[in-house]
Amino acid sequence: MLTLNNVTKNYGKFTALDGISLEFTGGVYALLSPNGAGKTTLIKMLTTLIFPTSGEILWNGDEIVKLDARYRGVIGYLPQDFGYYRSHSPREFLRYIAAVKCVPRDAARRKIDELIEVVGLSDVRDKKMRKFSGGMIQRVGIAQAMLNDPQILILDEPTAGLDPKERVRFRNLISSLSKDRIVILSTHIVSDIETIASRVIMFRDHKLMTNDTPAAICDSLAGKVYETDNLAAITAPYLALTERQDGGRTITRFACESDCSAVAAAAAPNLEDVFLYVYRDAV
Amino acid sequence: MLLFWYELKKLWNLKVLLLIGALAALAYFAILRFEINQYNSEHSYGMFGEYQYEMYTRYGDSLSPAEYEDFDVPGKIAEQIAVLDGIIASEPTFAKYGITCYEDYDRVIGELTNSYMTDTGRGFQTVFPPEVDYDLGVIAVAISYTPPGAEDENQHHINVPTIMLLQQLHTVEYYYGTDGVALTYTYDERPVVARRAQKLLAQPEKSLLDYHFSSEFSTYAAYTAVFAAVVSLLPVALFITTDRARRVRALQYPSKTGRRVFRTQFFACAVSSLAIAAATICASYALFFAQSGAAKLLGFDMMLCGGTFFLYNITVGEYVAVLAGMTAALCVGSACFAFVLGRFSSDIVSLLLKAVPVGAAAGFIAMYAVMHALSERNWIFSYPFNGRIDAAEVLTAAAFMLLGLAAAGLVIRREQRAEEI
Repeated sequence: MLTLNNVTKNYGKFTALDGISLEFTGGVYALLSPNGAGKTTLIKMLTTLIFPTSGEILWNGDEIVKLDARYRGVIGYLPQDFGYYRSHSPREFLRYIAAVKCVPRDAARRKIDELIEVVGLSDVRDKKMRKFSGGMIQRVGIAQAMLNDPQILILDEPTAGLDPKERVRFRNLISSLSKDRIVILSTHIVSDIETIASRVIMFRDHKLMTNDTPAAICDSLAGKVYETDNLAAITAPYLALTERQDGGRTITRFACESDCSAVAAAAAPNLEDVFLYVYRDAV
Repeated sequence: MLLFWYELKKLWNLKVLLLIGALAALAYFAILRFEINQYNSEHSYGMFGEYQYEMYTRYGDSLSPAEYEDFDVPGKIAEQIAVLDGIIASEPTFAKYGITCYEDYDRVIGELTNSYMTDTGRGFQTVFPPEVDYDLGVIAVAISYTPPGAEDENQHHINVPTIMLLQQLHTVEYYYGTDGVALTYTYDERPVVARRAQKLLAQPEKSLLDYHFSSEFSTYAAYTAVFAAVVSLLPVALFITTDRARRVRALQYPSKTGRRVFRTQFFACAVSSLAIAAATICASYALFFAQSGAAKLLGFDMMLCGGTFFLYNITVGEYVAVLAGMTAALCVGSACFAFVLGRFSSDIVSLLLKAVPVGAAAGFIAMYAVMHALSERNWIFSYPFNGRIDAAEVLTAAAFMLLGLAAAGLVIRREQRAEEI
């Protein structure tokens, strides 16, 4: 179990995260918040790239900094803007990362072949990565994160910059990797996590706001989301969420604290509604 | 160990090898080849010319007072003067100025030079009237008569004007027949030099090492050291910066190896710098000795090498080893500083802004530490240290390496808790 106890991170006078307490046991945890809310700071602390100003991060009851290599040996990490050597082929690069992760040579060879197969890069395993698309690079990234068969898989904005097809493929891949391990997924793309996250963690004003299942989070807006093609009829204060076209009509989805069922159709809230509603000042 | 090899492989990529190869070719064709040719030329036409070759052919690597007597310098001087007397007798222009023999020539040329000395407003200069200027031209051509000769298989006995042979014999007389050089240095203000001169006065044997060897070879070795130090800086700085610029640190530091990868990279850099030093020294020195034929000098004593006054009793072979050691130390130091620079550079441009002054400093230290090392002519020994510290230039090269190692050590230590933002 990965535990955060009252973790705070300051950069000088700026507080990036304030008093965060969390527990990660198993499944996919989605960190959902707008850019700059502290997701990457939290992830960098979990990966020991940076250290908490106060509080502690524990892995099975021991502080991760003190555990040193014993902790880092159980994590796999795909950073935002994943760095790689353009002159390396996926296989060369994965061999290097396997050496960095202290994976024995023979085991690494087998694991690399297996992972290249899993991420669908078999045809280009020995091609230089300089001509790879963003999606192919991200697949190399997930492969390197999985090289040591990590108990904690940390993915920071893994679908940023991917086209819709790649994103669906990536979501499926993450879902298949989430069995028997903790997957911590940072994103501001709501659709990435709606289907695969077992819990969603949201930050607001650099503090923990919510840590719950997607369904429970959506329930927090139950009875407050409506759709209408006649927004002028809504007299109570409301927050416009999204718009879509339907048979030449513009359907507006909105959230309202008052009952609008007489003039608008009630709609089941989704995570995107909650995101827009919660971060209405930030987005 | 596996990671160490991967880091070495990353450091030594094809681009780096091609860049170093191109720089090496440039250094050889632009500078080093010229230095070898210069040495070969001076070896035949320099201060002692063929007499040096003749002496070490007959007496080995040093000359005792008895051997000097046997070489009969006064007799050789008399022979050359007799040749010059003959030349003077055959050219009527000499008689016009009352010159009937070499002794007259020496005296009259001095007097003429003094008598036509005038204040030109920009200091005193000798200005001859046109008719005297013409006659002196004829005299100069006549006195520079070159007797016919032939080259042997070692390219020796190249034709040398008689007047030059006479000058060479006077130089031999000054360096080997007297203690003039050592005596001069006993009054030197630099304590290490004066001490050494006193010791040399008590040493009757004199080295027959080629007059030009030390200055030419140490200059050549200095260029080699500058090249090696600058080349050591390049791949290391690029290697370390690339990992930051490409954000690979974010993969390395959360791994099981963690920040220890930085230490492994340092070892790869240090080993690479030693490899650069070894390869450069071997290739460059081999070229010098192979092309100049100076390999036969390796056992010679460096105590008084022509115009360069050596401060220690070492052989040429030991001297070459000292210069090679200094070059290796400068390479390691340079690589260490490059390692530190690379750590604090986020991209190639910011790296270059820092690497240029550091490279220039490394090159400056390499040049002035190695050139004329262990002699009184060394700049670092003579100026910053005023000739008060023994082997100050060797200590400078060692200090450069130790400072680099200390700086790299501090950065590695700091990295253990540094945040990778």
